[in-house]
Amino acid sequence: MFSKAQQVRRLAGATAVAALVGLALSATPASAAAGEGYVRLAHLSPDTPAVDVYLMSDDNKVKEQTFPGVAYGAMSNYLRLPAGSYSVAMRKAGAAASTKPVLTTQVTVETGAAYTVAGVGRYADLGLRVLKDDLRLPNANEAKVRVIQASVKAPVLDVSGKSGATIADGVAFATTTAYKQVNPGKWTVKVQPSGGGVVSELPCTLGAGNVYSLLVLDDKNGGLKPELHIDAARQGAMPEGGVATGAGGTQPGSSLPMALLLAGLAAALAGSVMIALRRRSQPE
Amino acid sequence: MTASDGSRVPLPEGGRGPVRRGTIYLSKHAIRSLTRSETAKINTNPEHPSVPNDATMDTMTDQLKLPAPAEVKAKPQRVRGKGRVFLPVLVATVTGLIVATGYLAIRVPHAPSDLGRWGTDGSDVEATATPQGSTDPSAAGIANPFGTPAPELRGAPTRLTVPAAGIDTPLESLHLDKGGALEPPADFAKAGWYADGTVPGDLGPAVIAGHVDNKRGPAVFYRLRELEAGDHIEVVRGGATVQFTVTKTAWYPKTAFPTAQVYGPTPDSQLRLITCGGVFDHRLRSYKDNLVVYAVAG
Repeated sequence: MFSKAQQVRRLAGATAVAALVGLALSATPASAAAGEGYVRLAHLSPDTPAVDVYLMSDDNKVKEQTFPGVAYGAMSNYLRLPAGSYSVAMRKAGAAASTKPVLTTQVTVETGAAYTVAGVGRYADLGLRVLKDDLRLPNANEAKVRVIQASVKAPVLDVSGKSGATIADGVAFATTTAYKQVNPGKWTVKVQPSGGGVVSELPCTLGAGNVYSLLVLDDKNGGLKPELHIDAARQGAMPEGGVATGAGGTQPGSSLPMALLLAGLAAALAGSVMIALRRRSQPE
Repeated sequence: MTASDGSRVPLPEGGRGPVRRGTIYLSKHAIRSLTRSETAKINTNPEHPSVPNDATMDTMTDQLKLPAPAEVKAKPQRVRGKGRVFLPVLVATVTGLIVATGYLAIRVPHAPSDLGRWGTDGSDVEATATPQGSTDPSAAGIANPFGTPAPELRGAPTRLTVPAAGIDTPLESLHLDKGGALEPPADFAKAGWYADGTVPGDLGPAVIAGHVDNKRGPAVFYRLRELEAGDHIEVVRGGATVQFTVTKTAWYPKTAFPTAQVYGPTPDSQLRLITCGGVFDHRLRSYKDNLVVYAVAG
């Protein structure tokens, strides 16, 4: 015969087990992580000749890639790559892959993040720079734009809208501004050397919710050549929340009444058993 | 020896007398002898039906550890009536809760008779579930990102095919409702695409939604939950077919739907397939969760 204390303890144990089982059964399946990020490559050094760009995965997640003959002003589309560490190397166009690269750098690709790996500066002090691209959604009804300054002829320049809205002031050669949120719509972007000079204009349309990089290059005639690159895009108004796509036909009827009924019955039964046990074990 | 009501209570010698339930009466002598030798035995002694439960036991043991005063005031640990009612009510409540929880837990993930791609009877199931070599970027190679952009696609999407989930449906056009949410397709047998948003194959996240069920049974996206990373999706658009590959699937409560992640800008051409799932709220006649399948072109 068990003592009351033991009975109570057993009951408590059973309750705990039942609660755990209940939790395990009701857990929702988790989503699988994608584990991918984005990298794009750019040649932004005005006096550096065309290069061959090599991309190597440090842990062999992707075969080595070679992009030949990349010249000043070229900016690639994004490559979707497994997260991990990569080496980017630049060799003179046509140089053997065994020769020592002119430049190398490392880029660590994190899941969901995006990077621009660019050769920047004059040839004399050329460097590979890894820019982190913030592709997150801008605030409601805004667009996001930044300036990548790759013009050595206008070492410092101002960027604004024709209507007067400033995008960036005093942007130095070989630097990149942070993203700025601006009103979407039709723009005529003005690019001008700080302190005066020839103004270059770029008519463009900035879409709400989109992310842009304005690349400022030297053109062949000694002027400035602004180019608008779309970093990330979406179209139309943002839907709010999820979608109501189901009428419940594959679900059983509400289980609450049955659960309550069962709970009541079980409670009544357990209570009676308890009382009966006590009566028996209690000599009156 | 005084009980809490102040009345004198005759005590049995050695503390082994007819002790009454719910109340502990101990003499000085009994305390001393217990402290010396019997504390450890109390728990297991079957001749002590007087020990009501763990709580009283602990209190008693605590008292025993005190230096024995000349007169110990042993309070009744529990008023008789309360003790008699409390435990059965507790046990009844706990049992009721367990049964209800257990019932709901077993009841809610109601397994449909249609096993879909995970069924063991279909011979073609294995073929669709085997990952194709082309999903591995190292095998397929990477297209030159400096190359000329792909030829522009024209027109609206007309058809969606997802072989791994047995989905092949024409597409209707969807718009936002007055509250700003994406309206579901009017036809339960068809999926719909968000016609004011990104067109599948263009830069950005195109959105296609479909019902998981109608009032009587499964609808067009019932088997969407079977998709896994690596599965292929095709969208027919203006005579051309745009290929997508599933990158991940995720369930979100509608109350915490990650709008920016699902509908936010992307650096490449992507697709979202959305349907409902999880617990069905019978009062609101609506599912509590959304299933989102993320896919990327290629």
